[in-house]
Amino acid sequence: MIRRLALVVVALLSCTLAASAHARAPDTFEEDYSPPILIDSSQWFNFELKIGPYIAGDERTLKSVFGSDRGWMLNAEINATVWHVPYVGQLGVGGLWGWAKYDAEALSTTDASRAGEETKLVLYPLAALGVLRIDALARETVVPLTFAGKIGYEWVRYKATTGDRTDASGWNHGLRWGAQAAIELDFINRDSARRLDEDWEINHTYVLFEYYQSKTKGTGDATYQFGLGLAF
Amino acid sequence: MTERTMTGLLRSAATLALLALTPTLAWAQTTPTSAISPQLTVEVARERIENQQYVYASIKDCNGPNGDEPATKRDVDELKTWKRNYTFKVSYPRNVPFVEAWLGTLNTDCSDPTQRQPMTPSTTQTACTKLGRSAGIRNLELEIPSIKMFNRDPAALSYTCDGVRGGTTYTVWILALQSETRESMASPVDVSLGSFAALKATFTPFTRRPDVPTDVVPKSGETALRLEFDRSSTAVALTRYKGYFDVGATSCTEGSPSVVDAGTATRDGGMDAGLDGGIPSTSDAGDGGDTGDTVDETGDETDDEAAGQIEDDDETQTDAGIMEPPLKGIDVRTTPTSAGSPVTLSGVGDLPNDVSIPAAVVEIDPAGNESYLSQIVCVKHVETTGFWDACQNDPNCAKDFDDGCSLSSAGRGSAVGLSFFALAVAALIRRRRRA
Repeated sequence: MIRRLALVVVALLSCTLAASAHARAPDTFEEDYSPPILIDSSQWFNFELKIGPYIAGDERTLKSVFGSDRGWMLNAEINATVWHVPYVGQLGVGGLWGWAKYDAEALSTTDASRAGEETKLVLYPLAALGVLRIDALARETVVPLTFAGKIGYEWVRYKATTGDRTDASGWNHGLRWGAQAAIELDFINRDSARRLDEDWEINHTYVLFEYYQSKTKGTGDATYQFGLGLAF
Repeated sequence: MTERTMTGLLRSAATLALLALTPTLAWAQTTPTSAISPQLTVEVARERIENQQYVYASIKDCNGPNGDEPATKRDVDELKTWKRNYTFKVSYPRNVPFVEAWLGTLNTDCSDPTQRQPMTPSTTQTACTKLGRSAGIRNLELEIPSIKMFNRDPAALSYTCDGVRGGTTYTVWILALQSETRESMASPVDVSLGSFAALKATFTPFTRRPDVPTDVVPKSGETALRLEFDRSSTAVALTRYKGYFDVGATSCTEGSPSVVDAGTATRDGGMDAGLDGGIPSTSDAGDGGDTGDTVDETGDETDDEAAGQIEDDDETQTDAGIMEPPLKGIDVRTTPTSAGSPVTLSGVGDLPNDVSIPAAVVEIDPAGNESYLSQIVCVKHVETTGFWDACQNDPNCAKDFDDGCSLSSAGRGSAVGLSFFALAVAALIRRRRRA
C-alpha cells in the first residue's frame, strides 16, 4: 500500500514538474531580450538665459534718478567645455552678453519736478569667463543637482542719455565671478529628456540660480539671477 | 514586418496615388481658360504702383474743390467735371491689340465678361465700370476720373461718396485683350473668346475726416517737446499723426479749440520743423488746391526739412475749407506703430526756457485727410538734469566712471577677447564633429 502511494506521489510530482516546465517555455524570448543600450550624445556646450535685478554702481545716485527701477539685467551665456574632468564635471570657457536699462523722467532744474523727457542709462556687459561645472552628483547619483563656478573679466558698455541728447558713453571693466546651483529637469519626464537628446542633442535642461559679482567700476553690483540652461 | 517590406509598400502606394492623380493634372493643364493666357502679360511700369498696391481716395477726391462733407448733389455735379487722375504706365507685348481698364469692388472679378456689361439708359451698371481703352499704344498712361468710382449709378442718384472711412475698396483691373470689345447688352463683350491678363491696383476711399485724437498729454523737455495721446476710434493701421507747436507764442491757454481745420494752420514765426520719426507723409496739410498728387502709401514724397531742424519758412498754407482761427505753429509728423505713440518736436534748444506754448495734434488717415485739432495743451522748454548730471554731482558716482577706459582701447580689448573665445568655440565644434 505504501509503495502504491509513493508511486502516485511520484507520478503527481512528475506531472507538476512537467506542467511547470511547459509553462516556462514562452518566457525564453523575454529572457533573451535585453533592453537597448542608451548612449547619450556628446556634451560640449552649455547655453544659459538669465535675468535678475541689478543696481549698477552707486546705488544712491541711481535711486535718486531712477527711483525703484531695478534694471533687470538680462544675460545670455554660452560655455564651451575644454576638458571633461573624470568624476567631477567639465572645465571650460564662456562668453556672456547682457543688457539692462534704467529710465525715468528727467528732473526740471527749476523746481525739481519731473519733466516730460526721459533720462536713461543702458548697460551692455560683455564677459569672458572660465567655468568649472560640477555635475558628478547628477551623473553618478539620483540627485539632479549641478554646481558651477565662474570667474573672468567683464567689459560694460554704458550709455547715458537725456531726451535726444547723449550725455556720456564708454566702457567700464573689471573682474567678474559667480557661483551657480542648478537643478536638472530630466527627472520630471525622462522619456522627454531622452527624446530631446535624440532629436536635438540637448543632453540636459536645468533651472539655475546664480549669485555673481561684477567689479566693474561705476557699473558693478553683487546680485543674483534666475534662468534656464541647456547642456548640449 | 521588415523595414524593406514597409518601404516597398510605401513606394507602391505612392505610385498608385500618382496614377490616380494623373488624369486630374492632365485635365487641369488642358482646360481652356477663357481667361488667362500665360504669354500675355501686363506690367505696371511705375515702380510705385504695383499689383494689389493700395491707393487711397480722400475727401478731395470725393467732394471736389468744395471740400465740404458729406457729399452733396452739387459736389457730385462738380465732380463730373473735375477729374482726379491716377497714373498707371502700362507696358504690354506687341501682340496685344487692346488694353482696357475696369473698376470694380474688391471682390468683383472684372476679368469675367459678365461682370463688364455696360450701363444703358434703362439699366444700371453691372459690377464693373469701364474706365477706358487704349489701342496700339505700348505704354499706357491711364487716367481714372473719380466720378467713375463714386457715381456709378446716376439714375438712382446713389452716391457712394457719402463719407466712408475705408469702408469700400475698389479695384482697378487692367486687361490686355486679344479682340476688340463691344459695349452692348445684346452683344456682350467678346473677350471670353480671347484671352487676357489682368493686373489689379486697389483704391480705398476715406471720404470722411478722421476723429480727433484724445487725452493729449504734454511732455515738456530740454531737447524735445512731445505730445502723447490716444488714437481715435477711427484710426486704422496706416493712420498717422501730426503735431502743431506754436513756437512763437508767449503764453498759452489750454482747452478745446472751436472747430479748427488743421489744414488752415500757418507755419508761423519763420520756423518750420520737419518730419519726426523718419516716416514721410503722403500729402501736405491744407494743399486743397492741389488735385494732381498721386497719394502713395510708400511715402516717396518726402519732407524737405530734416528732422529736428528749425529753419526759416514763411510758407502759409491755405485750405478750401474755411474754419475758425488757426493754430499757428510748426508741424511735426509721425507714424506711430501703436496707440499712444507720441509726436515729438526735436531741436528746441533755441526756445526760451519756461515759456508755455500751445500745441495740439491731428490724426491723418491713409488718404491724407486730417482730423480737426485735438484739445490744445501747453508745453514748454525746460532745462533738465538726467542721470549723468546727477552722477557728476555725486563724488562717489563720478569717480567710478572716471576710471572707465576709452571706447577705442576697450573696443580692441574686448574684440581680442571675443576673438579668442570664438576660436575656442570653433575648435571645439571641429573636435566634436570629428568625434
